[in-house]
Formats: sequence, C-alpha cells, structure tokens
Amino acid sequence: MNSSFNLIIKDPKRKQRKVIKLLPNLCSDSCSNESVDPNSFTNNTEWLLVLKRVEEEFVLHGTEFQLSLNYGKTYIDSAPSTKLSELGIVNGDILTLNILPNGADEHSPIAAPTNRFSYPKSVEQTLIADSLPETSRDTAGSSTNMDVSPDNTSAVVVNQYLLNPMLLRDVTSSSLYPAEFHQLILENSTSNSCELLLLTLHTLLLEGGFTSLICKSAEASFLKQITRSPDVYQIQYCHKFYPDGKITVAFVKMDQKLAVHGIVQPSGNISMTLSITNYTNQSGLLGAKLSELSRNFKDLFVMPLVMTLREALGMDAYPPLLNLPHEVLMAILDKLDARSLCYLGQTCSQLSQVYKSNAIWKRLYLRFVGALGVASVDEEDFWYKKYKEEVLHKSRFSFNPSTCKSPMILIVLYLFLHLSNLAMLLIQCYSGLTTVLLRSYCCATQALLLHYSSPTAVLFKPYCCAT
Amino acid sequence: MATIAQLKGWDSEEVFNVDGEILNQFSSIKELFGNADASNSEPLSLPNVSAATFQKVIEWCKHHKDDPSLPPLKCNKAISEQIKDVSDWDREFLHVDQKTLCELILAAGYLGIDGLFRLTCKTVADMISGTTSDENNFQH
Repeated sequence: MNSSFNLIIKDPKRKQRKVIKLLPNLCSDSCSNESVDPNSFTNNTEWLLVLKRVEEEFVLHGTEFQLSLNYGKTYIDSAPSTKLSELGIVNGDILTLNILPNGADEHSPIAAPTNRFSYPKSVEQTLIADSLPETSRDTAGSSTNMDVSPDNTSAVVVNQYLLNPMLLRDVTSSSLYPAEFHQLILENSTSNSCELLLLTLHTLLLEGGFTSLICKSAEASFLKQITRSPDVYQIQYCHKFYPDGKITVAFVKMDQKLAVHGIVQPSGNISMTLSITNYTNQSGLLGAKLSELSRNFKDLFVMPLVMTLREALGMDAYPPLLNLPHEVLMAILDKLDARSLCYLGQTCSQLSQVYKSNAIWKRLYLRFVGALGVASVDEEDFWYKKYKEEVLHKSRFSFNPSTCKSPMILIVLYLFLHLSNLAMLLIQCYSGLTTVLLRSYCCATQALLLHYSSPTAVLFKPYCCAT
Repeated sequence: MATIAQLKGWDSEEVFNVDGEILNQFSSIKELFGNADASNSEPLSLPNVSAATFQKVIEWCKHHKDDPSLPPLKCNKAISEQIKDVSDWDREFLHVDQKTLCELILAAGYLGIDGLFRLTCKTVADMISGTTSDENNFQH
C-alpha cells in the first residue's frame, strides 16, 4: 500500500458519520520510533489501529464496540493483529459502528439496547429508587467496567427518578417506590414488619399534607425518636394549611394489629386498626397492597383527621380547590407547568404553602433540565430554587425567539428608543425650527413606551415572580 | 345486565341500581359485592359521595364502559402530553361548576375510577394553567 487509505465509519444510533484516514507507513523499519505518525500503520497492527482510531473519533472511552462491514449483520471479531486485506476491507469501505452497552451479551449485538432510556441491568436490579447521583455511581461502579458514557449516566439517574411514582397510591410492584419513602426505609434499616408499616403510614400522613414536628423525617434515628415504649410510637404533626393546630398520632402494636390514634388537641379523636399481616410478609412490604392501604388509610384516617382539625380550629367549609385532599391537589399540580404553578402560588397563602413542594419541583426540574447535577439537600425549597436558577440561566444565555418573546420585544423597543433619541439629537443640531414637531414625536414615543411597558411587565412575570 | 349492587349517596335516600359493567369500573368497591346477588339486601351508603355526584359518575361510567383499560402513566414524560385528547362528550360532561367538578374528583378518587380521576384532574389543571394570578379565580 502506498497511498492513503480511507474508511467511512457510521454510527446509526447517534447518527454520526466520520471518515478515518490511514496513512501507509513507508518506513516500516522505524515503526518502533515514537516520532512515527500515529495514523500510519504497518501490516501487523492494521486492525488494532482502526479500532483505536474509531475509539478516538467517536469518544468511546474504553467502551466496548463492534464494527460490521458494509451494513452487514455480522460483526468483525478478529484478533487485533489481523490484516485489513484478510478481513476483506478495502479503501473506501463503510463500517457500521455498534456500541455495546455495559455487561450486555456480546453474542447478541443486534438486540443490544443502546436506547438512552433503558438503563443497564446492573442498576435496574439493585432497585435503588434513590435519586442521589452517588448511589447510582456506586451501583454502576460495582459492575466490572464503568462503560456508560457520562451522558448516559445522567440519563439513567433522571429516568430512574421519574420512573418512581410520586405517591404511594401509584405503587404497583414491590420494586419502585417514591424516592423519599425509599430513602426513609433505607436509612432506618428495619426488618420489623410492624415498623415498616408504621413508616408507610407516616409517609401517607406526610402525603396528606402533615409535617412532623419532632424531627426531620429522613433522619436515620427517626424510629428511635418516636418510640415511647416497646410497641408504642408517638409522632406529633401539624398540617401545612393549618399551622396553628397540633396533632398527636400514636401507633400501638397489639399482636398482629397496629392501632392508630389521632388526637386533635382541643377535642376530637380518630382511631383506626390495621392488620399488619395484610400489608407485609416475611420479606417486607407488599407493593401490590400499597395502593389499597393508601386508599383505606387516607379515607378512614387522614381525611377525617383533617376535617376534625379544621373543626377544632373553628373553620368554615373551604372553597372547592382547597377542599380537595392534599394528595389530589398534588396530582393536579403535577400536571401544571412552572409558570401556572407560580401564578397559582400567588393567589392565596395556603396554595403558596403547597406549590413550593419539593416533590413537584424536582419533577419539573428533571423534565426541564434532563439531568441531575447535584445531590439532594434537605432544604425546604431546594428544588424550587434550583429550577429558578436554571430558568434564569437559560433565559440569560440562550436566546430562542420562539420561546422567549418578551425579551425580544424589550430589546426591539430599547433599540428603537435609542435610535429615535439619536435621530432627535441630529435633528436638533441641524434645525431649531422643528421643535413643535419634535415635541409631538417625543410624546408619541413616551406613550409608546408606557403602552408597551405594562404588557411586557406581565410577560416578564414568570421570571419576576420566581424571585 | 341484572342489577347486582344497590348504592346511595350520603345525602339522600335515592337508591341507584348499579349493574356489573359499571360496578367493574369502581375498582375500590367492586370486591365488596363479588358475585352475590345484592338486589334484595340493604342499599349501601357511600360516605363521601353525594347523590347528585353519583348520578353524574354513573352517567360517565355508562358512556365509557367499553373503553379499554388505561395504560399506566409514563412518569418520565409530562403528564399533560400523555392525555391530550379529551373527547367532545367528556368536555360537555365536565362543563359544570367548580364545586361539582371537585366533588367529581373526590368521588372518582374514592370509587377508584382511574379514567374519570385522570380526566378531572387534567380538567382542573387546564383551568389553572395559563392564567395569571389575577385571572385565576378557581378557588374564589
């Protein structure tokens, strides 16, 4: 070979196409020399060189991949030292690239998933319903090769989080739980079925709009803090909507039953008894029973508790939207976009309590950004803040006229006013006679500015109201 | 189909005869009746549903009895994208005042009618979405 040798590499999954140019090594004696052109090749390392070049060009970072010749279904599986002529590759051939996902069966390259939205089996099997990037890194790192490219990893984390249902009522299998609930269970590491049920009921109360007064729910010592004596647990709550009222919920274990008593301070008492064996077995919670538990507990306990609390505080019947149970309200808010949510939050004090909820903003953030940058923090409005920063960042640095019309209008107006000022200056220099004309022009511009400033302020509201 | 359940709302004595096709959509209470012929027994009172609302729920269930079961929501997409098409009948059906709409949501949640629950939640979200704070009068 004494002329350059071109190969076209196509990556159908990423829709990329690159040409690799290989130079024949004319001085084969000096191939051990470091100064030799890396693109040149000697006959005994031809295939290896091709593989290396493909890896460089497509930024594969050690990911396993395969090449097939001329759209063929069979992949070239040869020793690195094979000559290109032995493989039947000639100048100008097209090679199709297939990137093997981590841990996939090498013998089924065609069926190998490279879909962004399917995550590697190793991650799937550990069933970490957690959103922390550390966790996913650990899980992925535990498999032999960390072969997923960074881009894919973030997609994995995001989709894992969004796959988790937001509420316990939506749990269908015993593998995917709401992330916060999963974390609570993990951190308290209990195998006692009664305590598992208790944590579930606690989560249901939190979903119902209650917040625990004693301690932060996600702390590891949660169970210790609420244990009053063996088999008796006590938690104090207040409701987001009615911060004045305090509620004490006592859980008492009796044989195979768990009795729950809700005591509203001045008057009122709600009780319910649940059979532990109905919802748990030796290995843990029964995922399929969770929606039933959620329904029963909320209908028979949480709702009456809220109603009793409202009565105790001497409140009237509430308007329709606020009359809905907290979790139904969350289901509605989950369907809203950020702008509408902000507007809704401004309408009344109670809704402003709900709309900043972390669960909603985390989902919005992940849908908007598509990647999970930072580990979750226990701050109350953490995800809301993150979303706000992201929106401000994007609106500042990327201009898309179709989506941000309001900044465009402002800029056009700004330029127009400045140009007109300049024009006025010029006119003033050259003639003093047109003062009357100028005055009227001035008035017109000001009127225009006034006219435009109010709609732009309204259009700007989503950005402003985020402050 | 024969009546297999007798239900009534909490606020009136009016009894609704519900047949199997409709009862099947009430996923949370259908197990209560099983295969037994309940036509002679005492009508069951629904604690969270008023008679007027229940009338509407039955109307919706009759219209939607042949619908295929709903696919589970894919959580990684915006939900509003997944249930775009509200049929004309549904739109007309949900053209009610806000109090009734909220009662419908509660009833659908209580009776476990997934389709109606999603539809009503979506309707409320649509009413809220795209309005400014000043225009938003949903709760007033």
